Amino acid sequence: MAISDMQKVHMAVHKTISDEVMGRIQKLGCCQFIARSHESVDERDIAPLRTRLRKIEELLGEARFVSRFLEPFATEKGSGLARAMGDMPSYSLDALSKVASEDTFKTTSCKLRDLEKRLSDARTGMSRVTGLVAQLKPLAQLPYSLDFYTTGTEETAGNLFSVPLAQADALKSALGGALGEMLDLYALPTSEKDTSQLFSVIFPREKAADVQNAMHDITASRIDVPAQLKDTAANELVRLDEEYGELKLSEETVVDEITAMANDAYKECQLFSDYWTIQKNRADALIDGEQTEQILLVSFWIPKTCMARFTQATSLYQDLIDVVTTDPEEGELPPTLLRNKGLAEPMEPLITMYGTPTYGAFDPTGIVTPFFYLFFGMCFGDAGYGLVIAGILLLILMRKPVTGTLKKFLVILTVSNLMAVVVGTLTFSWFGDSITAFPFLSFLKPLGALQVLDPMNDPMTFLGISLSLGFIQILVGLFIAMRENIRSGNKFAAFADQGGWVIFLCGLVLLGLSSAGMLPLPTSLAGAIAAVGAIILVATQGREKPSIFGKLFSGVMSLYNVTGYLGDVLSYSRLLALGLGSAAVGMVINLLCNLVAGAGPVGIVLAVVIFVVGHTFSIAVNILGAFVHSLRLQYVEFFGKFYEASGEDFTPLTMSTQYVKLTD
Amino acid sequence: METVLATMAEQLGPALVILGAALAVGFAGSGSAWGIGLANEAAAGIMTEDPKKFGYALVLLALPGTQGIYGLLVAFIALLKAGLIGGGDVTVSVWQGLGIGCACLPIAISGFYSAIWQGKSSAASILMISKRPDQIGKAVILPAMCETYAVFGLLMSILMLNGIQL
Repeated sequence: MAISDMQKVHMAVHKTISDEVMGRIQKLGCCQFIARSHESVDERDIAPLRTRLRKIEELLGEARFVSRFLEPFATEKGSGLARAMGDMPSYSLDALSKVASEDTFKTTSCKLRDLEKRLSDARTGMSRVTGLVAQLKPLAQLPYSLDFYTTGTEETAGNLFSVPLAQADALKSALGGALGEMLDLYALPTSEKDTSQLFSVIFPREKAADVQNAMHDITASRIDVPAQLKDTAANELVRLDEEYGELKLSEETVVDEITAMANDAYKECQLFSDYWTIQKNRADALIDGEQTEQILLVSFWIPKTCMARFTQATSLYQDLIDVVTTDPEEGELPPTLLRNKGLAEPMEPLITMYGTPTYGAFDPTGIVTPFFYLFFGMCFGDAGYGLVIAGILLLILMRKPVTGTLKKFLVILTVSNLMAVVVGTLTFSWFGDSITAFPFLSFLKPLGALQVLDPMNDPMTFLGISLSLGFIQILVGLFIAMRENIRSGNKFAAFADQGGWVIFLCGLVLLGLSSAGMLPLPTSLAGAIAAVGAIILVATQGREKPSIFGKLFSGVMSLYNVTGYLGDVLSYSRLLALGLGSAAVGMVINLLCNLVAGAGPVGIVLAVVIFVVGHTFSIAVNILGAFVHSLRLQYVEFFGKFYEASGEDFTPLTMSTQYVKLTD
Repeated sequence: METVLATMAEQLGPALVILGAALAVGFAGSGSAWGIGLANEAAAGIMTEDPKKFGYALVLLALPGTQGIYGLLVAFIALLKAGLIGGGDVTVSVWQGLGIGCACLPIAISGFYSAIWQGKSSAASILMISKRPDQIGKAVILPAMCETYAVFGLLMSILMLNGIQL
């Protein structure tokens, strides 16, 4: 339950060993480099580094091209989930550097670039041929060579026209009138579906203008024939068909070639990209430093607890490095690294999801942990469901080398579900009311002896427990805020803002309980406690207002905030609602099973199906609800009281990889 | 005439229970369908760009579906209480029937409206994860804020049903 103390390290390294030292620091994975201010940058000093970084970025760009290009072809890509479950190859950094050699990868990527070009040539060719074929299809029955309509002969020229069927006669007479005997007009045959007709017009070159004039009044469009087509349309179509076949074959060959190498090349690319990402991160950290001719100066944040490891890792180079360690200066905000133990540790990602705690402020992980597990248990609230999910998750955790955030998430879910088993046992909820609903499960009835609560028939007790837990958590929140105020020297605020509310709220609750006869406490005493709290609040909450009237008015108005606290506590009634929801959904499923089970053997089969599908559905819905609402209670009702989440995550330079497990 | 009136009075109780159950399932379910429909539009939109977001989108668009389940739940409890399913040997008077029918209203109304607004929130969250898939945790929390009031509706319906003495 703490935030790691950070130290700032300034390190001067002789350039001859800077890369080695940075490699060791990267392997340690606990130093977050600090970028220097822009004024101190002398571009000449870092020019070689920039060149190196550019080269690495080019290599990574090439890797991105390869992986994008191969994605549709590779069949063994491995899913993100499988990788998160630890299903990836192991390499030492040395071995990885050999496998991810620049030369081998460049050969692969050049080959792939070439294949990509051939593939795109073939595909462009195919689409060009398809276009030409579509253009030529209507002309298939034209008996003349197509070059009549492009170059023509010395004496004659030709045109192709398309006219609406209704205008066909008009075209014939217009051209006949203009050219008379010298006209060679050929009408291409039409089918029933055609709405227009194609005409071939061949005429003496000198009559070209007459043809144009004759066509002027008719809505005819001239059809251009691509210049590269010389032969008759029918012959050209045959030739194009052959060309398409060749292109298709060449496309298939290229695709086969790519597919043959896709899986290996894809894997190679993943290794390559991991290795060079490590190199890039290192170079990025280096560029954050200051360079002189012989020396590299870098600064970084390191958790105090890691200093010993850092000193040990760099002890080899004692003579060539110089290290100065300082504590964070006034006004400096180091990054935040949470350091929790046991069951609280996996909760860290959930805390930082809301926001990272400010460095030096309170880390709520430890306090949130028991509340979250308990709330989840109450919301999910079924021992049968809890056992099934916890069992599955435990199996995964034991069988698979899961790491990182996924592991933390699975641990949270496992513990939460075990909590649901506890709550379910205490409320005698096993797959809803299956033990009492199905006679063949009656041997499990002794489990009922463990029941202490029956929320279905006595929801008020469970509601009381839910609201009490809410009240306790809100008080805890106020106490944390109080502690933070005291720590930062603001004792008056601690007394007035939090103390006043704690006394007032406790007084009100005591007053309520004693007047309901649930507490052997004189009502007047409880009332007096509440009054003391109220007086503190009225007297202090308007302290920033200038006039006495303003102070009093704000003080009195602040009491209105009690509705906020009331709302917060009532919000915890969802623990009962969701818990009842799980139990009742289970009960309804069991009821349906019993209804159909009476209908002979088919009914029994149907009942089993309803039981399995129904409860699976119920688990899916309720587990999501339980998780989200338990978390919401922390985020909204609890964190609202005290949590300062303006910190910055600690992001050290690490050997982080996506596709391989580094063994050293 | 008197026998007719007596029969009507005898049957009006269960009829009111059925009306309440029908409202709970009908309205909460309609709200859920509406909400999921709204979220679906956003989900389909982001999947045209990146079909891999299906998993995330599905979680988010399923969120407004809970109200329908709450409605179904309350309807079942109401019918069960009145002995209309499960075969309990109970008779429901007109006033008891009216009480059970009214007890179904909190989830019917809060379920209907909260599901629609939760659907809109889910749609917004789906658009958010299309750009920032790493923020799925926050994206799930936001629509749950709307669901709170359906949870309260469910709670009140159950408490009311529990409080009616037969």
